[in-house]
Amino acid sequence: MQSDYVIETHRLTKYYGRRCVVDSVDLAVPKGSVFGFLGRNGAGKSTTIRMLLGLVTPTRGTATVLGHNCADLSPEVRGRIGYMAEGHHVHEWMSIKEAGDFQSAFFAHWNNEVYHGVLDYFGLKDSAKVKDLSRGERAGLCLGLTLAPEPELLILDDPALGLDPVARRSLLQSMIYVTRAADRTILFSSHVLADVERIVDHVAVLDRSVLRAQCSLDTFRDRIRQYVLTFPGTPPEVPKIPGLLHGFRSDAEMIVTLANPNPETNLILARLHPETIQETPLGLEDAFIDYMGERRERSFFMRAGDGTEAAV
Amino acid sequence: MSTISTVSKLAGRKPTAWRAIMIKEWKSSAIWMLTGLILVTAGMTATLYWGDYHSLTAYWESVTRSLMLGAPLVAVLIGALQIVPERRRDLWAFVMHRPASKAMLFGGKAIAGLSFYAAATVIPLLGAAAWAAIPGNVDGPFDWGLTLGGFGAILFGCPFYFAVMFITLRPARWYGSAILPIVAPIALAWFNSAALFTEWWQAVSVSLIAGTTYAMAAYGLFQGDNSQERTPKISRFAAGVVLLGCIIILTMPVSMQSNSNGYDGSQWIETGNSQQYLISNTGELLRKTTTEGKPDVFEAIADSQGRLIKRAPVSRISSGIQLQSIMEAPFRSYIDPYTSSERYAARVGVAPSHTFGQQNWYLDRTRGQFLAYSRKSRRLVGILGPNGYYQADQSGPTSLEARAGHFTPGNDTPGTVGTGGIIVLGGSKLYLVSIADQQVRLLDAGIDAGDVSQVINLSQPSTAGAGIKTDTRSAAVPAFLLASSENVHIFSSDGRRLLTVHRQLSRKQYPTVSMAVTSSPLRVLSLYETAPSTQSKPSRYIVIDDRGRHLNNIEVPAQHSSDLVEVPQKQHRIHLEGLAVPMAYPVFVLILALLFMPHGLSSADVTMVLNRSHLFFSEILVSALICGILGYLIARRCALPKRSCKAWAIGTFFLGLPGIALMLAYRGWPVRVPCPSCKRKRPIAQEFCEHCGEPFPAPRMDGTEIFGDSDSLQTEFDSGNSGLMMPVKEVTR
Repeated sequence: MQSDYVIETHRLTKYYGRRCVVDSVDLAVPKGSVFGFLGRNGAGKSTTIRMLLGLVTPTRGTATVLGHNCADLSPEVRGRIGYMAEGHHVHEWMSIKEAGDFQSAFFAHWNNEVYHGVLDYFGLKDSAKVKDLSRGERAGLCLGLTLAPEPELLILDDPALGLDPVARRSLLQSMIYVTRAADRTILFSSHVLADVERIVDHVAVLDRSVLRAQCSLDTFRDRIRQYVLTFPGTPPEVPKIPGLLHGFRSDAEMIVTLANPNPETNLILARLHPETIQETPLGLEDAFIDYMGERRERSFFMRAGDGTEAAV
Repeated sequence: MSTISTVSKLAGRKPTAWRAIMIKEWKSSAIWMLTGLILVTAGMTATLYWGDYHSLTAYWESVTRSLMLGAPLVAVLIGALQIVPERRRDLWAFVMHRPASKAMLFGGKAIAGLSFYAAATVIPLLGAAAWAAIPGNVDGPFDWGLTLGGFGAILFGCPFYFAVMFITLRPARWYGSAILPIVAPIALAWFNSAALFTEWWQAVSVSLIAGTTYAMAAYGLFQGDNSQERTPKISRFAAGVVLLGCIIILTMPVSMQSNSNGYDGSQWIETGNSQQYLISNTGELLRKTTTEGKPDVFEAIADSQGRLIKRAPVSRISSGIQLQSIMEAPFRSYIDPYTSSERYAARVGVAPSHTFGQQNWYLDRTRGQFLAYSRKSRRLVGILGPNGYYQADQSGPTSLEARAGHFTPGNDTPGTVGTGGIIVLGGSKLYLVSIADQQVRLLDAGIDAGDVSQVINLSQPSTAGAGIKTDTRSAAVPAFLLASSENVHIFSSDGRRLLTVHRQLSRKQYPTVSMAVTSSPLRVLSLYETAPSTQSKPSRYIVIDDRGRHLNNIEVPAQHSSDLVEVPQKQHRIHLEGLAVPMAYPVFVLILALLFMPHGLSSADVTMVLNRSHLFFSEILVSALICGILGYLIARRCALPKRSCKAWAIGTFFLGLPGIALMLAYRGWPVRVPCPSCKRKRPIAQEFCEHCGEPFPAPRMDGTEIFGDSDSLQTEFDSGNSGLMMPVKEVTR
């Protein structure tokens, strides 16, 4: 029975020494989706991706890609997976033409129009050496090398790393144009949330080696809410609320950001007896930042009577 | 936008994956090949420059030695630089993630790397050969066999190449473990440089076996990426062999040190009486008895004609001639190892050198000719063959080489006789060659040269030439003898055969024969001895005159060599040597003796092992038990199946400390963390705890998790059923 998921992991775990860098991740990437794989630096995204490609051996757990065990990907299956690593590594002594010749030799199907289309989009010439390319140009070359075989599954590990906004936009647009083909699945990790918002329809969030979220983008957006409570005087301590991401108290107000708010949450807030409770709309970027940020309470008081000024 | 012409050109000549890999490897590593080539050439040139590069022996020794050092260095350089720069994580991913098998990727690297290594080392060697082949550069002949030493050094560099690949691919926790695999190639290269491989095929075989084993081990790491399950079994086995071999090589000097003849705690000394027969200067047979702590006693056993005389003590003699062991089973005289230039162009010692002034003489075994080279011009000045000596400047219709003729090429075993006379064995012919006189004399054609195994110069005082009295009136002074397994032929200095003596008694009963030859009158004195195990049986002493007639054949007491016994030292030392010796060692010796040694369990090696002290064996056993237990515990720590634990326990029992070291190097030290359920430490790689059986729990949730898709939350708000007491203002954007 063919699965609806191109990538499935079950309790995928990786240790480096005693340090757990990926902890029991159960990932399921639907076929045909553009899947954003998010997390802060060191969360374990790249390690997870390398395990999916069989480049790193998991400590425990299993993973399948296109129905095949990641530990045993055959050359044919690898031909159906396009991978663009962060850092855009290509042998620096190669010219662009040599890089294309080298890569194309391995694939039964190689779309030269796509390859040269991407190169032309980035203004790359065949004779240029990789070592002379800027980061954006190198990213364009790597994208061309990855897209030309027209793989079923694209795995892009922070493809916009180190790119300026213009280069990043070029990369993103070329990705959008090329990936419009039906049934092509993209797993795409990034720190640039604006880019994520533009193209993904599903997200997974890795927080300190643990998978904290895996849902559609709309659901994610919907499940993060921010409330502003105003008080006549100093607001009380932020109560213990299930799903509290972080709370902020200032002179006359309390701002709480919550995941998965429900009626019980509202009751708890109401018991604080604020003057008003307002729900503030959060952009996706703000929602991500709040979700992936430090989960703690902060305070900042200006009034002299408190005698303290806490660092934000 | 796309360049159609470029596209069509690309499509027209699309390379295969193999070719793409090879081109990529060549282009990326060509610079290292050039670097290696320059380094080897520079090193070789410097070595030759600072040596005597015009001398044949010195020249080839320098070439070979520079390659013995340079070839491994180049192999290490190329092997490391093919892997290390690509091991940065994402470049490695670019290399490895493609629709090509790991075997193809590895094979492409290996073929390219080895071809570079070959180019970097063979080109300088061929250059050296070309220079040496040019007349006037080196004062000796050129033969392609002279390059075999260099090729051997290059061959022994191949294991280094794969060893470095193995090292760079293997994630070892400790530096010692990481660098361990380089030990065996170093040891093998040393064996080769120390001329322990006498034949070229031995060197080829050993280097091929080592190289293949390392290649399989490296491929396993390339394929499996440090995962035991993904590594092919043959590669795992090869890795184990590599690591164990290196550990044994490292530990052997330690464990064998105390196992050398001076065993810590005891000593092997000679005790008891020993006897030895000598020939006095007057031709009498004397028997010397040595007793420890007492002066030697000499008895006269037989007179110069071999007649038994009453044992009469003689006063201590200042010197006597020992009988030379003769008519052994046929053996070849010492053959230089393939790395030696003497093997192909043996320098012929001529004396006195002032007779010749400025010439070096060589026996070219390949051509079967003696070649004379001028020391000044380093050019060939003459050839001496069975047809005589011909000077190089003599012109004629036939080539110099053809005119001189050939002794049987490749089969000559010259023995140096007298002053510059050389016996050359050529097929069924024997020649007496005099370099000094530049003359060749065919000796007695009736002797089958192929049967001759010994050439002995009777003028040497320590050999069978007892009591030679120079009688200038007689031309029948024995000068040398040729011995085969059944005959001894005695010759005068001018090549006349004076006497042939056949074996007198059966080899089965008297396997050992010793002989001395006296002159004036010419007599052959032979002592026939029984086998060592039957030393109580008397020997026979036979004297033969110059006409081959038996003068006498008498029975004489057997001579005994002194026994070796182990005497414990009366010193208070801690006897620790047994702790370093694996149980496999005595077992190995016993098996070896049973299967291969002619005397089986009575072999000297077995006797030496069994005659050790009980303490030594107790230590071996204790050490083996401890290592076996340790091995089992380490296997349990690794959470291996019970069967594997038992196998490792047996392995470490026999291999001892090297086995423990192998286990740690091969499997690594397993990481264990406290079980969240039972708090006892459990391996991280196993899902279920070996103590309580519980799986690793899922990560703790903190209520902020968002999984799945639902609209239920929004629906609740819309219906106003939130239950809030305060109005909620939903601020719209």
